[in-house]
Amino acid sequence: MSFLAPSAFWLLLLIPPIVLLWFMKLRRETFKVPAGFLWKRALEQARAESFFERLKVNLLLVLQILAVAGLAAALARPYRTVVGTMPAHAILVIDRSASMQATETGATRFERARALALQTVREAPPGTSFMVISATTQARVEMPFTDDREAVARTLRQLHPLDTATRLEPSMRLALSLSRQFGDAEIALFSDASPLTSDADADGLDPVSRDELSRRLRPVTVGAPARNAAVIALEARAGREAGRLDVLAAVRSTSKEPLKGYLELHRGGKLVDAREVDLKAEGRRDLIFHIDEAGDDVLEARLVLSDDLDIDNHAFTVLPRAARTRILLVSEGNPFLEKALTLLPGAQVFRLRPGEYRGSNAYALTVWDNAAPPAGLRGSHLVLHPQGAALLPTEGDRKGPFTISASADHPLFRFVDWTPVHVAAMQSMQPPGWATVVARAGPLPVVVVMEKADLRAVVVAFDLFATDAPLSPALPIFLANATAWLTGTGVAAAPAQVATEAPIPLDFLHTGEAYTATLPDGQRLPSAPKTVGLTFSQTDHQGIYTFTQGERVHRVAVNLANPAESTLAVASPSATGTARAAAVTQPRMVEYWGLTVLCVLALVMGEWLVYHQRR
Amino acid sequence: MLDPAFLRKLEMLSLATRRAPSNIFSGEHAGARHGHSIEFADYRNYSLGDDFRHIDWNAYGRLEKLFLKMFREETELSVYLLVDASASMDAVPDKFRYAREVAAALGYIALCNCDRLVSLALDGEVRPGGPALRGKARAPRLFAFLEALEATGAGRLDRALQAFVHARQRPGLVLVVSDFLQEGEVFEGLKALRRARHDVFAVQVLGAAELHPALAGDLRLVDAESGQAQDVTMTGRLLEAYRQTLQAYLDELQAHCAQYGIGHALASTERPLQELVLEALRRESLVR
Repeated sequence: MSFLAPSAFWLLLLIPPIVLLWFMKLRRETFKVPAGFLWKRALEQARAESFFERLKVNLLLVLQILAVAGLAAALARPYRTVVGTMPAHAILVIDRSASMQATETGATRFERARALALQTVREAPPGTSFMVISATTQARVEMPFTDDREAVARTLRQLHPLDTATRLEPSMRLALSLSRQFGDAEIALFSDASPLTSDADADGLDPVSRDELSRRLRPVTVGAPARNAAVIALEARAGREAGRLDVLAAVRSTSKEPLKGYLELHRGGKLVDAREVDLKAEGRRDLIFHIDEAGDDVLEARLVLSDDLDIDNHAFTVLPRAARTRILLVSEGNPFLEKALTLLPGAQVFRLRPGEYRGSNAYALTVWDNAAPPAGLRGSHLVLHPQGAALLPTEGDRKGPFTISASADHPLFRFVDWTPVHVAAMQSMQPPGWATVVARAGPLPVVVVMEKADLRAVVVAFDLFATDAPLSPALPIFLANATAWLTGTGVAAAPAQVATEAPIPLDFLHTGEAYTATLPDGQRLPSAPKTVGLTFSQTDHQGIYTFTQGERVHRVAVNLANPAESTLAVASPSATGTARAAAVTQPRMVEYWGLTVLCVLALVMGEWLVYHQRR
Repeated sequence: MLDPAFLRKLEMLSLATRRAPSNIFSGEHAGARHGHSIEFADYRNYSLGDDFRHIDWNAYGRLEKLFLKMFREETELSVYLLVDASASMDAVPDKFRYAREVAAALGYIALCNCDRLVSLALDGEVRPGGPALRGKARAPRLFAFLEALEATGAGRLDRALQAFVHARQRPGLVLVVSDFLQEGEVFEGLKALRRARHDVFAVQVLGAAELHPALAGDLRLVDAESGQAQDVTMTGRLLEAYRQTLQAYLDELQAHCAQYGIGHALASTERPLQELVLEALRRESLVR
């Protein structure tokens, strides 16, 4: 133990005067007694009965000396340097990004970080409250402030790393704002990265926040230099030959040593091709595979070599669906419409007169132009100026002019500007209750979306010849959107791949119909009926996500594919910009003057009691 | 020295003795021998030459035998008032004054009953005292004697009592007024008085400061007579031990007195003198 004010020990010089006074006090008062022999007998009896009576003669002196010594010690401000203590509030931020799965030391970085976090909880002084925040590209509070260490340990043990990139700024912002509630709160970051590197500005931390963070932050860095190579890209496109696809795979090494292995291409879980990969230190190789268009639509590139992170040795993609969309136009003749449909990418347009229609499942989309769709329609249909009442009740044309206002967030109207379009007349429609009006002209429905289990239809009230829409870019864009939405192709198609933690837009699913999402690990997530604009955000893991809606199945690949994450860089103390050591514990001074004062008070009380007991 | 109202009460009292005095002087106490008082003592058979005026004719009428009535002789009681004048009697406040007042009260009773009173002071030996006093008219001389006493002696009480016995005083009632605080053999003096056929009554006078000492701190206790000093640190435990020791000493003295037929009364200076004489000493059958 050391002392902050050792000069206070000058108070010990009071002890000799106390001893001197003690001896002076021993000049006894003389008292005459008639029977000295009785007192003599009494004294012998008292001494025989109590050994401690003799001690009391000197006990007062001892207590007084101890009180002075204690006071001197208290004023000298004794302290002890304690290692391993935590303040009353501690925020534990644990990095769950993909790089924490690196195994350069045997166990993963995440296991090491979790072990250090558990050690911190174990070694904290009683009364410390903990909060657990997990950090990926987002921040998530896993456990609010609690002093229940078992619960904190349980939460830590239940965490596992994800296949996401690293971005510490959101978790640092969250931890900083929470720590401000408690003046003594500190933030312990268990990660292989640091939020205070020179790139911190890119993370969005302002200088004031950085300064405060540097004071509160205690980085616990895990990880060591690692050897790693990753598949950083996997894409498929139509090949030069008909019926063939070109698959591009890019492999990059972040190791300072050359790495050698194989890149395997799997389709539908089966190996279709493999190439030898010889990577120089921090080198890159791009490979092109040629495969048939027909076949399973799931591709996986698998890098087989010995490195310290396995998750980025895999990449997935979903092959695009057949490029040709068969469209049937049922019309007496509409050159504008026919031309617009023909110009759609991949569209193969077939024409029938209304009387010739016999129904068919051979077409992805049927376009009805001034025709009466029959009852019992199934499949995808675009109906312009509907006739008859089989699809929905109509009451004949109404004279305009009309201007159209549409729901801007519906996929049908993406990039569509109806403002310059004028409608002279349009059908008066009575859509059923289960249909959705997505565009109006005043109170009148102009565009109605009808979705059922086996029917997806867009009904447009006006005749193209009754508008100036063919002269406006709105028409072809609207037709492209409607075709894509009705057939699940183009912009409304499921994306081939997204990054981990990125949301998957579910525009390719039918609105109002329930669907089931299947995760890469096989976990099935039934959901409520899909609504407009819905996205799926549980993309923490790399792999193929399957969305099933009725008989329709859509697959989306989710990839890490993050070169920065694959470098497996470990933050160094110098990179943090502070002098803090990367340790679980931090030395603190704990003063004991308060305890010493209490001891002095107890001694004084004891001295008072002994003195009065003697009296 | 004593309150006049108290003196009037004392005049109604008389000293009681357990043994009939056998004095040649007549007095007011029933003597041990037969005499000519009016107090009937006993019968005896008539013998030739006896005074026939003493024949109990009532007894003759019943028994047809001649009996003589015998009457007690009224003799004078010798009362010896021995007052301890050693230094220990003045070691605590009011103790020696109180002892002299007790002695004055008892002596006054004796004078009022025409007893022969001899007052002596003891301080290791018997100090020369004045002549014997008789009658109430001599009370002022008694009081003057007692008031002039000083507690300065350092002698042992037992030796003083034995010296009194050796002076071959006529057997009587010996009233010893003392604190009886002496290390060892204090009772030998009292026993010597009993062997000398005295009727002995011990009035033990103790001060409040002796019975309930209120001492504290570091003290040097000096014996009032021997001058021996001892340093003590007064604690509760020591005070309690002293009380126990004192009580044991008093109990032992009282037990010895009872064993040898010596009257004993403990007179604390806290107790009013009237209460002591009129109640306690009457209860102990010293006065009646």
